Amino acid sequence: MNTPVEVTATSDTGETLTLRYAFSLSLFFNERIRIASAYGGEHTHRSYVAPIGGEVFGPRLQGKVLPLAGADYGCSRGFDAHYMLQADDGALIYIRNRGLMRRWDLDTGEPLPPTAPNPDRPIRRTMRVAPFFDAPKGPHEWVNRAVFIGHGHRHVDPDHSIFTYYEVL
Amino acid sequence: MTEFKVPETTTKTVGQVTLQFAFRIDAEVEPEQVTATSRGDRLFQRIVGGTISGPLLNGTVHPRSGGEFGLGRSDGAIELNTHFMARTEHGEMLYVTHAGIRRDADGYLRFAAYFDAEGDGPHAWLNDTLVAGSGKRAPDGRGITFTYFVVG
Repeated sequence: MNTPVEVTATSDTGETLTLRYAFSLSLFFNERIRIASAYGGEHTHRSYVAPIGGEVFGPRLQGKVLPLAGADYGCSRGFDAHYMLQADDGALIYIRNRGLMRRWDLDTGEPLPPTAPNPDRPIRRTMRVAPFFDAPKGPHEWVNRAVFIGHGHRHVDPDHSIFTYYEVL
Repeated sequence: MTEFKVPETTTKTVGQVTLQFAFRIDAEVEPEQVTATSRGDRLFQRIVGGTISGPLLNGTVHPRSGGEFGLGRSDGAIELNTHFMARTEHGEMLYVTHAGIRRDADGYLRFAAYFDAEGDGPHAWLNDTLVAGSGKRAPDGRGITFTYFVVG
């Protein structure tokens, strides 16, 4: 990708914030373990979803996701995932992927509550995340010193998610 | 070790996000206190009060309800965690937390903000909305202006 993808907004006093596309992550899963949560009220649960692999792609980082080296330990409202990435130069990069998920009815476009999934009702899941990274000294250490915002979309058949990360400039 | 067959990633489109100015908080803070710890410099700035204004939220910062907690790392970046309570113009209390990075070398202060609002109140949308923000520290060390943008 040659053209940087940027998004900018300006406040009432002229403060601007700019997001610039950095890289993406695909995560493939083969099982989702769900624990009913006792303390959060109806429709809450804790989940364990571990990646069996995936890719890191985009302008600023390329590599892969190490299989079964971390998981999303999320709960119904949000998620809190830990993964290990390996850049193409071999560097190991830890990512903590924390964020919020929304569920939408595919037919009506209406937001849905975080109820147990109903296979008869097609829903769309969108995520917004704010990840943090730990990268070793070297070409990737810039990720340690910046804030990122991410877009996430969950797909089925095969079960995978794709996150698009933007550096908050 | 178990080997898994992982498909090629077929979807390589860039997921699009939007940014929308939401509100700003002009916070009054006490001078920063620095404690040298084994993990780095622990920084603390109490938030004394402030005003919240903008198209999506108006109110005040609940007096002395929190502060900005930083950890100064050996690479020059400061890991920020900020916690305080906001009171909306309608009297509802919101819990506000930031997780971010500050770099004093170039004045970078950016964060992701999360909110806890009443589940059936007018600000419930904050509960499942990701908010990105920036901070600008006053030269005299007694104020920080936080500007918040909804990530759509």
